[in-house]
Amino acid sequence: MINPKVISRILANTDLKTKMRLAKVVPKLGKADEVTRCMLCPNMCLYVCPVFDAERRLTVSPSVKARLAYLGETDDAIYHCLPCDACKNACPMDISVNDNLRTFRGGEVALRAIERFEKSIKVKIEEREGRILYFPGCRTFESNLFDKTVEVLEKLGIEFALTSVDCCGMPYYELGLVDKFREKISKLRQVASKYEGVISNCPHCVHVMRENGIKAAHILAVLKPVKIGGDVSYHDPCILARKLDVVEEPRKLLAEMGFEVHEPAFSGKDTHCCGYGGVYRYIAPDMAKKVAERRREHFDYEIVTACPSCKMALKGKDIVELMADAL
Amino acid sequence: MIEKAVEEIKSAGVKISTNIEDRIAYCKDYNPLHLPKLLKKELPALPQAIAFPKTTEEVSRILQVANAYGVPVYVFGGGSGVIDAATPYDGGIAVSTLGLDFVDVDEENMLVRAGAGVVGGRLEKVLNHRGFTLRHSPQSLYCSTVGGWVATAASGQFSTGYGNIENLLISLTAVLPDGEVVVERATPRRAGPDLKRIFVGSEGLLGVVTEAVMKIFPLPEEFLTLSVEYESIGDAVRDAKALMQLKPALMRIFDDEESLRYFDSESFTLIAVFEGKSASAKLKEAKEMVSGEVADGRAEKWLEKRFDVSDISRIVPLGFIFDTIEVACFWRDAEKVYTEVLKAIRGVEGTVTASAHASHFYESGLCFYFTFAGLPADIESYYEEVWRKAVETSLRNGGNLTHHHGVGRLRKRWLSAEIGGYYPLLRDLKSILDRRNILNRGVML
Repeated sequence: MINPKVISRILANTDLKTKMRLAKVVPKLGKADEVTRCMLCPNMCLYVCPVFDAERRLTVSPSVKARLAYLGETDDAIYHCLPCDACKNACPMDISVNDNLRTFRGGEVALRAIERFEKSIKVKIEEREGRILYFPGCRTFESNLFDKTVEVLEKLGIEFALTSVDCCGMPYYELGLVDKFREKISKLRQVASKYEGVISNCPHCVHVMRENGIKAAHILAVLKPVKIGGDVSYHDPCILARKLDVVEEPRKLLAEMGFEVHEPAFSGKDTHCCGYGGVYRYIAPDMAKKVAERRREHFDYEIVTACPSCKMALKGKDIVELMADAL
Repeated sequence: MIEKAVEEIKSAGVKISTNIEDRIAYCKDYNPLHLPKLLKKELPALPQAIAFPKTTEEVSRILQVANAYGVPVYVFGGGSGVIDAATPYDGGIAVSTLGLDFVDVDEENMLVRAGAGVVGGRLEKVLNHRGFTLRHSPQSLYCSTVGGWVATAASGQFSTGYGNIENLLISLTAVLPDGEVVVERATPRRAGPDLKRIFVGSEGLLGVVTEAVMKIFPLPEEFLTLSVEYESIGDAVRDAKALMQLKPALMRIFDDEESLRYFDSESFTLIAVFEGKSASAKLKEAKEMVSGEVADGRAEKWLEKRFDVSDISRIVPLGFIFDTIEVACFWRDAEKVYTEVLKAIRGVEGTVTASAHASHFYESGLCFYFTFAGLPADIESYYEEVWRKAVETSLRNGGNLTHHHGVGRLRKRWLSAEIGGYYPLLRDLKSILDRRNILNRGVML
């Protein structure tokens, strides 16, 4: 909204021809799409972009990726992105670079990446009945967190069901493989509808489920404190902090467990991606590792987190693991 | 030639790319004239290759090879410069300094050694986590680099209290156009002429800065603000001069047009920040000193918005051209420079808004930062006319050519008028150090 006093000053100081041009363009103010607006920015979120920080080339910086998409150069760089929304968190225009680039994906790079992802899936579930569905997500298996989570949930007396549905569809969604994503999420939605709700270790899965009409919560919502104690640094998983708005809860839980929680550089909503979010690992595995290495440098104490991908990337411990060890 | 140079650089183990996406990424700096071109899907320029060195030695190797083949080299940091200095019009190789990205903090001596490619916002974040600050805070902090700051003689929002980049520098490492590495011992003060200063504001003309040692400061315990409103620019400038005795960390004056935009007030506004142990006493004294009306809260409003440049993205797609022109002047010329330059910009057909703020203060004077937006029939001729009239008016009325954005290609025609006898000296230095004229060709001279 432009201040009316500013408008009257403009009208008083502007020549007639310019006034006529103004009259034509003013109705279009603010109507440019997000890719265009992002491309015109000098890259004001450069300092928070984890992909740029690892790769050290402007080509994969936020506003240059928007430039490439705008120009139709969509072969490679537009895939070098994480769904962390560090850019959006820093952007006065509230633009998520990854959200905008997704529609330009679906090419060769996507097909190669999804093949790698599918080969990496190793989900093994024995079905059981319960009122709420525990949906671990593929990365909970990859990070060896599944058995420990089951153990903790049982010891805490939480009644939960397990089914053999293995994927929320996030990788397909991120890679622009829309049909395959719809297939995955429909299947999950159908299964989830039989339960009161869904819990998951993986912030990605919870976010995708919520965005697609499934009542889902991060596992933190059902955990209860177990006294342990010590000094830890908490890493905020980017999806958990920025997209699910869970920032205080893990800190409160850790404090109730007797931990002194130390903040790293980049924390809370200003957290820094671990590199293993989304599908970057299947696009540029070495660079994903580099993001993780650089993120590890921000911590002074043992890293504790609440996401299977972050746990793997940062070689830290998930809160569920701490509980499993103590219970 | 370029093919042979690329092969040789590659075989020396330096990462170099001829991929079209990389070339597009390094096709321009942030001069506003490039934006309408991009909207029309035109590229302002296109380098033939991008080199990504990770060490000073790799930069040296690239320059040796480029020299051997006479290939032009353009130096690129974050690409946020606005004076068309990094744009590779002659093709050749764009050298990205972003791989030079180490940070070593020396808390005992309050120094940081940083690679040229370190991005300012991240450096500040790392320092803040350890209880320190660089207090170098250009509006481009989040997207500009340490090397870029040195090359453009950058200044930041806290320069009034902490100085410009040249005041923060302890030592520099640079690579000369023929590949020779120059490095000096870091000491609190040095012997002989301070030759590292030839790289400050040299815009890549005389060498590639690869690392810098800079002062850091403890994060201030107290951070207090003052906001005052005035009837005229003259009243505000007179108070600013008086307040310099109290050494504010930051001070700015917004004219009526900018006050309206930031604070919904048609008065002139002065804001100041006092930091550190004596901040309370200084603020108390400042309030007693000023002749204007104290208007609480304005400093905070500006501090919250100080890195927001999103208006550019909103108005450029409509056909607007937007830019800023910053000049320095002595106190005695301040009102004249402010009034006359604004009049000159407003007099160009197509101008929609023109305003100014004073952003950096010295014992002897200040910097005025003019902002204009135009919706002309022809962007390029309008832009040329605004710049010509603004700069010539500034020079005629006691203002200078640039305070901190630099010269580049945009202002080079006026450089000799500004630096007089030093202009041929600069030309000589360039021809001695860069015999084949490979480095940032077409910039400044």
